[in-house]
Amino acid sequence: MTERALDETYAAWTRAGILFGQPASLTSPDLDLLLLDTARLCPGEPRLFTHAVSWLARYSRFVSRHRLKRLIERCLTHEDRPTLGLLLDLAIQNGAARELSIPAGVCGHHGDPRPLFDVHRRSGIRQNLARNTACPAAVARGLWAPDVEARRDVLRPPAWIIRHNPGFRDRAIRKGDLRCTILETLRRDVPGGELGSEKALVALCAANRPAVSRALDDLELEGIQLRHPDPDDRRRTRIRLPAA
Amino acid sequence: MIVTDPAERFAEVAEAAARTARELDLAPTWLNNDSRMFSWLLPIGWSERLERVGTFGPLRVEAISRRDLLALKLIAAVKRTQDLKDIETLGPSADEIAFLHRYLDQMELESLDRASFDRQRALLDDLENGDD
Repeated sequence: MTERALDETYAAWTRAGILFGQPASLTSPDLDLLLLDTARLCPGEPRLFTHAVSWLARYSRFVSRHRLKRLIERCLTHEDRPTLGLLLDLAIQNGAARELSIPAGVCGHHGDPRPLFDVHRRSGIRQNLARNTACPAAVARGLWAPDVEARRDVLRPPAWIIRHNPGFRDRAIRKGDLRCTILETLRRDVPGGELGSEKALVALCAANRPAVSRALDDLELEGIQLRHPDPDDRRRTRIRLPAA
Repeated sequence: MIVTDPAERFAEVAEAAARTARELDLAPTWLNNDSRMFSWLLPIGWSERLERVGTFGPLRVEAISRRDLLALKLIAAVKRTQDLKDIETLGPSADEIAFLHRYLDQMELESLDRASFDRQRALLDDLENGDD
């Protein structure tokens, strides 16, 4: 990835509440995509990795975990998946919601173990160091990386995060569950926020049909009506975000 | 790392830091002395090598010298990869490498429990010689 992508990732995390000591991005990040970018960049950026673990350990409820699972399967290479898996595993180990194991479960592991970080790949001595100091969670992913102890002193408090990222509030209230995935998927991944059927929504949600149907029911109880009769065929149901 | 003398006076700093945290929306523990337990790792003479950063009202700020920072990062680099990367970024000179060798010698010499710093020494050799 380019230097610009690196700067943008740091700026996005700064906006999300990590104190990296640099300007925040102008807009609130798409958290789930940000995690994918983070996984791609982590090998060259050990501090990004440890701080992202710290953030996730405390703020995992902001993550729309089914959407993250789908994005991993669709957009992240097999090479980068174990890195994200380890990031999620270590976050859980440090107190994140156990449900993060849903996206972590599709991240796999490297059959050929190797150092996670580039800085450990530069010599045999460093590779040995990485292997000898690797934590069990990393070894399980086929990676050699030391354990991470989450740090709260590098994080902004929740009130600041919500103030600068109002969209995170709904995610937190719904604890990152399938309702979040449905709403975020329609907002961010579906042009026009409309799908031709519930089945089409299921295909985008990395969950089974009964679970998606229940989540739609729950959203209706919240007053968010997403199911609409198809005007051309009343037997069919379209899925549409309400007008903003 | 924050070292206060006497140690109890850190409470005053912590109180001011908590006020600042509220004003600037920082974590309540943004300024902490959690790592004071590692202060014994500071190389001898570190306080004489402090470098002036500036004076801000009643506050005089000094920073640890580059070679003392390198020493602490070398110790931590075994378990904290970001410190290894920081050392690479800092690019220690031949003089600094020599200082770090002397520092490790001293640490081993003074260790009451015969602690060895073999991993740090290997890293230092690696930094000095490049790939093996």
